[in-house]
Amino acid sequence: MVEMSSGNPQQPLSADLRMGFLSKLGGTLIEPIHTFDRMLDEGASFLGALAAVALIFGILGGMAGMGIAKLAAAFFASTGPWLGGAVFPQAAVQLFFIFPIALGVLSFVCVLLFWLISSAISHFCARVVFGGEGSFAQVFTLQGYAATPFFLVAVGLALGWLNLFLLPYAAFLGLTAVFWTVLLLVIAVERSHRISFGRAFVSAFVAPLLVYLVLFTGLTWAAPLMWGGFWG
Amino acid sequence: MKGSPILGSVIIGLLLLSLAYTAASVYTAMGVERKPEAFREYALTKPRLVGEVVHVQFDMTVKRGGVNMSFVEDAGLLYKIIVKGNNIPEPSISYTQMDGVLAVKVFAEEGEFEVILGSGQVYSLAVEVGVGGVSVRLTEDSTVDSLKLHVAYLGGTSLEALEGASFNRLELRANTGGIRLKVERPNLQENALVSARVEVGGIQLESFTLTPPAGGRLTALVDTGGIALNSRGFQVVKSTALESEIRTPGYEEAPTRLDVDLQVGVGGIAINQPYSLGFP
Repeated sequence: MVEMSSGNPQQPLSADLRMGFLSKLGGTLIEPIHTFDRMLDEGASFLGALAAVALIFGILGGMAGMGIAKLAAAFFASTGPWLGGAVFPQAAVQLFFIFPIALGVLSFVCVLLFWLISSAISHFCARVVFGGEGSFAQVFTLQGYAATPFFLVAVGLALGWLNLFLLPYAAFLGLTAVFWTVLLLVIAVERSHRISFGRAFVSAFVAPLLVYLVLFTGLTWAAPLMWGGFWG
Repeated sequence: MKGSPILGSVIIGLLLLSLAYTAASVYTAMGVERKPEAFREYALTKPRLVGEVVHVQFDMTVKRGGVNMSFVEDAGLLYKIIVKGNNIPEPSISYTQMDGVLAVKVFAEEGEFEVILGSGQVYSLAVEVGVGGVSVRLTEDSTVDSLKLHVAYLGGTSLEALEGASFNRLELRANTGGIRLKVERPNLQENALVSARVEVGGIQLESFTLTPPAGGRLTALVDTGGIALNSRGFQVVKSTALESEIRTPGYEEAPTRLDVDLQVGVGGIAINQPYSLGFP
């Protein structure tokens, strides 16, 4: 088993001074620079970041799955009498459990993949292009915690369920979460690689964006060719 | 770092609260926790009637909903109708008895009906649904002289005539929708006919098998659309995009014959074809 640690072995901290999981989550939001520095000094394990991402995006996926289950159930309910009422509500019970679990797992897996690739691009850019001194494990760990503001999206979705008129607030919370996360991603690269904010911004935001843009443009261009190769 | 653990707890609390609230909202909105469906049962057995019943004419009309019909091995049972669902209006059920013939009439505005028929008499069945579905399963316990299934506007019918089922004439009609058919080694007492017609939609004949020496012939006709034919052991007399005919070897000399006639106005007919998912 490969141990992955982002720490600095020269500066060990006693157990009572080490940050707990809740402190890392809270600190990432209100004091990101200080919190990230502390995590780097402590050699925070990526497992904490993994737990944070799993918790946030698992719950977000589950909530989205519930919404889809509701829509699917509404569809079945409307067609139920036409189909002899045989489909609903028996199917609803299964939908209620299947969709949220499936989307929760799917959401976590997709985000994990996205997080891995983005961290790798950020790290590569910061290290090779700007001569940063951090490690991939450090960037990976800190950028995992940087996704903490996405809890706002869950709150927004819940507000939407509470009252449809609150959906604009949900959109506002979603946008806030995205901007806040981008800022934290940049700070994560800045602190781990000890480079300027501008360079960290290019590494954490511009570089991954460019890579994804090139990747999707290429796929869009290649997909019809591949499709033609398979079916033509 | 003061306040960080508290904020972290608040974040997790909000996440869990959001999840719990969404789950509760969706659970309630989807009606998962709704009370169990009510059942009402209407049954008639031979001991409740004076005189013998050898033939039952069962005529059922449902404006919106579904009918699921099957037979059980019970010589004393004439019919049992189970109505499922809450707040479903009471169906009108009446019957008259004359010269060994029991005429039953059922009318319902809406609902889901389970109709169970007995094995001790011959049935002439007519089921009409305005919008919805009808499903009938004929087994060795069923003796059917004629069966008419009609979907007047929109919906589908499904008919399974399984091994040992006895019938003379089966007629299926659907305006817009589909018909699913399965004929597997029925017990033919005399020449029999299965006729299916859909105006807009499709017919799927899942399987068509006979027990020798019975002979079988299948004709399919589509006005606009196409036919997917898998002759599977039958002799192909004609096979075009719009018209097909297949027969068992020795059909002309067979002591009993089953003719299956399928017609579609706009749509398609699939004969002995596996389900298609629509992907190329």
